[in-house]
Amino acid sequence: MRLSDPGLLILLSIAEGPKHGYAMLDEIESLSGQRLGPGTLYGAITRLEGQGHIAPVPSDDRRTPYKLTPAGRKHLSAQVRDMETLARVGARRLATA
Amino acid sequence: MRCLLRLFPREWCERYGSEFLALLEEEPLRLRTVVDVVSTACRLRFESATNEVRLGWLQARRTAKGLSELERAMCGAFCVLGVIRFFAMRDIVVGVFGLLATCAIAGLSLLAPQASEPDATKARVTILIFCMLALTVQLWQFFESVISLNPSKGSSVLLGPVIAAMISNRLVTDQQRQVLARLWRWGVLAHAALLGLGAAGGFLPLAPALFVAAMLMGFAMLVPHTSQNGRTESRVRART
Repeated sequence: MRLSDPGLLILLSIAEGPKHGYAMLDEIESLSGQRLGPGTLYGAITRLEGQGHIAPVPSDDRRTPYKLTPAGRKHLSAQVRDMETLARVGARRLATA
Repeated sequence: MRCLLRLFPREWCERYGSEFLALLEEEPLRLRTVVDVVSTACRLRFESATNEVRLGWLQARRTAKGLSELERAMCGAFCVLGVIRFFAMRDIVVGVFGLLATCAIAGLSLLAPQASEPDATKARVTILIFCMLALTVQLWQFFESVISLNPSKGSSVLLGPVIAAMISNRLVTDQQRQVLARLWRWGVLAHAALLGLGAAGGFLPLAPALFVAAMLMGFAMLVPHTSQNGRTESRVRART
């Protein structure tokens, strides 16, 4: 689990609704401050679609939007919970140090 | 932009090519973008190749069931022979090529799908390319042994085309098989001549045994293969 993990950033970027590649890049940039390369983005999209975490939304446009699947939402929830636990433990340890 | 797309695996391009190109057209073309795209293409190619190997292995296990005990033993012996030659030969370059060719043939014989499967044409072309590669290497070693008058060096070279022909017996057409058989016959004749030269020189204790082995394998090649792919059955039906 890394905040720079493109897969996690993609899942976060489409958590509120379907987005196409360019919109994902903008959203990820505003979320994490880093702009992914197009290759990195589509490499991660390929992997996530293969895992069944995201699915394409039918569109007439060349730019295909992607949405979270129920499995993807579950996976993202688990990742966010892990991050919350990690942040809580980290904050507690820093406070006692 | 389109030329960058060619770096990706074909299946990937068919699925994502159009939308990926649309994204590339919206992004400013920078060196960083190109490096990112190229590195992803390399990674996907690698993943695709490893996936092919995995599928190939699964197919090999399936195909191996269709091979006779004799063929399986031959393939195994051929691999071992390649390894022995690799370590025994002083000429490392020839040894490496010999090993690669022998292992490629033995491995491909297991990896190649049966002729009755839908992608049989591709399999035939692949196996023939490797047969030719093996044949080239084997002939190279054969001529080298002729030049150096050292039959022990060339005594095993005939096994290459023989095994290749045997294995491709189930994959190539009858006409192609006849060409391979003709090559083998010429090879045996040349090898016999070489043995004579070697015997005159007073060395090669193992060469006669290898010669007999090559000859037996060649006969096995000439016998029509009663495999599961229906080739023999179809020939019989055609005759009747």
